[in-house]
Amino acid sequence: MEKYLLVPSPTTPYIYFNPENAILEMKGNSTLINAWEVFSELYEALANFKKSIYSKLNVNIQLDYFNTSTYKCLLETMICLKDIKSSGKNIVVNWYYNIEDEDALEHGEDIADLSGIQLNLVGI
Amino acid sequence: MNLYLKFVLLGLSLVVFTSVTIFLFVNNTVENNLEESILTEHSQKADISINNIDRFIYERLNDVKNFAKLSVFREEEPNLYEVNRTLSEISHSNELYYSFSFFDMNRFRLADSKGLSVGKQHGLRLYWTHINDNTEAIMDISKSESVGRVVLHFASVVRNNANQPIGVFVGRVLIENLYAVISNQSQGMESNNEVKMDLLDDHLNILYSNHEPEKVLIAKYPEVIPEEILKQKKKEGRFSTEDNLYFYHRQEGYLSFPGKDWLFIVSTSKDHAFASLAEMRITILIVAFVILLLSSGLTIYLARIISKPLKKLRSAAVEISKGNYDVQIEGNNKDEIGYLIRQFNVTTQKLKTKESNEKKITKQLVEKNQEIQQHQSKIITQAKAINRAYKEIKTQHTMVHSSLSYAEKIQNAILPDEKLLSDFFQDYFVYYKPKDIVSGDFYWFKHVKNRNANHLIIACADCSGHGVPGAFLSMLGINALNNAIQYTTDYNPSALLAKVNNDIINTLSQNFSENEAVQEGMEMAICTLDLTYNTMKYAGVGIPLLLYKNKEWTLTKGNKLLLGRNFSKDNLEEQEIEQHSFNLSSNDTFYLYSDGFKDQIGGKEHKKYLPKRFRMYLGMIVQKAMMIQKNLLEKELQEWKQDTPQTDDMLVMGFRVK
Repeated sequence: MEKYLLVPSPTTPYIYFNPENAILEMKGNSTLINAWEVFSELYEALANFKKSIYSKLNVNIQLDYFNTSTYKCLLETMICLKDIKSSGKNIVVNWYYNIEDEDALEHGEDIADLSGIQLNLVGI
Repeated sequence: MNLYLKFVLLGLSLVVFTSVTIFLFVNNTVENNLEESILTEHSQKADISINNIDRFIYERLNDVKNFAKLSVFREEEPNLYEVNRTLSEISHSNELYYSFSFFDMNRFRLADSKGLSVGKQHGLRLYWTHINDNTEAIMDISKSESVGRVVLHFASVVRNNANQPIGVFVGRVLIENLYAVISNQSQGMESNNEVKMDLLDDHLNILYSNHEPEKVLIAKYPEVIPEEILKQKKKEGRFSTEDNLYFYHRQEGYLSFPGKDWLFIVSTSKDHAFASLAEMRITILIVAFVILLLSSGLTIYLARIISKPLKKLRSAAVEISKGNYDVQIEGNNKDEIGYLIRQFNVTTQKLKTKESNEKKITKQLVEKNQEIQQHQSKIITQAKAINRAYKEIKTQHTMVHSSLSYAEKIQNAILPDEKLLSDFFQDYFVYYKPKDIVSGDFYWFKHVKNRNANHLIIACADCSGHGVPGAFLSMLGINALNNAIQYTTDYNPSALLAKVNNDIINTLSQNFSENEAVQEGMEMAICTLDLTYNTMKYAGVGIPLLLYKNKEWTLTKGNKLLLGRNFSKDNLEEQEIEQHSFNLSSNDTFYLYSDGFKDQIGGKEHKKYLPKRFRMYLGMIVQKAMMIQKNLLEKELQEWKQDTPQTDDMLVMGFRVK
């Protein structure tokens, strides 16, 4: 299974998916205008992961700024993960937020509400 | 001149120089030695000869003295018979003598062994001139009166018993016998005519000559003898004329014989004397010439041997200069030239390898060059394509930009005139900063005044997305707001938000599929100010109200909702939206703002500006005039974001109550 990787910049996120090590990471900022283009590949990888023998995945999300487009993609990602979780795999989602940033915590709560997946909200 | 010739010349010049030097040295040494030995030899011969002569004369004089003492001659009256018989006996026993005579003191010849001129008186000359001067014996050379030939006379006085001279005894020896003496005695003397021997008396008359006997007693010796020799009466020595060498020896006497001051001269031609020298010189010359020839031959041979590999080297070097690196020189010399040849071969091999390497490299370079040229032409083609594309993009960009600029005009035309606010507020500002010309953020004002109400309705909204899609939604939002206040008397913000939400859903519902997890819509806050009672009602979806009243800040957050499509539900009821009321006093200041400013990415770590920092900044500047606050916000934004592009559309509005 391919590792999914997006090289980061000040305005684009770092996305790392390594099913062998049971890791999916997202970091940085995302001002992607059409985030779906980037995330669709991740969706595909997650769909493959669902069918794979791997039984565990730790998701660490530490995004500072993300635009509405990315927000929608994050929701979609969470719905995917919830789907995978309900299929029996062990999925843990950690949502890291800046303790100074009340919006970030709210976003995490919103996403948890809207997608129905349980997030570990971790202030740093 | 080539090397071979140079070697030959060098060798030859060395050989010639050496040969000539050796020849001159040898010749000179030999000549000196030989000449000295020849001269010494001749001188010794002259010495021996004169001694022989002296001794011969002495012996003969003794002979006649002894004969004169015979008694037969000493008789007062000589018995002639006896005298003749005795003479005859003497003559027989002394064959050296030609004849003997006996004279009386009056020069009458009393007897003669040959019987010649007996009884005749001899002339008063020759030995007779000296005989009475107390001279006992005397020698003389003259032509004999009796014999008529040149003879050596040996005369001795005959004394009687009383020691009175009574007669003279004379013995004659033919001059030829002297030749024998000289010839026999001077052994080794060349007998040929080349060596001339002469005996001279004190007047240089020739007494004896082995080459010109006819001149004896007739002629004088040629005048070749230097004066000083004659004057100083030098004993012995030599002198020379142009052609001849002369060795002389003066008569020294022998025992009691005092000598007669005769001079014995040996002369020989220089040619003869030095004949052996000349022979020797020729021999040396021949040997030198042979050595010269051999040396020259050897030199030429050696030069050839030395220059041969050099010649090979030269022609090999010429070949290399033509580019032929296959040249290899044979040569097993163990000298420097051999080393040079081996080095040359090694160097040639290296050159060959180098050349082939260079050829390879050149070939590779040419290939690379061709590749590069191909790449270059590709690049040029691509560059042309890019240029075309760039032009196209530029055209499109210009079109899009002009299109957007026009859209901006329309949007600006739709946005309310902010100057309207000046009638209702002490001071205000609207900081409106689209990310891309047209904005998804928008503001909206409406003054509603009728018999029931005098309201100012303010809306601050942030549509999802930005740019054109944001602008589309903003149009929708403004339209929805305008619709919401139509045909109603309920200007409560919550009611208006519910209406706007439902309006948007109605407009958009047909275009999105049910399954799509999208949230298209907008965040919005609405403040309704009751201008009659100075109260304000606020309701917000995603956009908070920040109020500064009596030096205290109040942050009121609205609902966590989004106007438009939601996941859980579509339509909103008025009751679902929280509404807050505030009493307003003069100088109360409140702010409405979208996410844009606080979400701006910037700083060293490319982080969000953050709502907290935004509120703190507003706290710092809240006392200032609204226009200045606007400018400070712009300045703060620029300092924060630096080169980072603007994250989102921005809208910040501030109002100060009258």
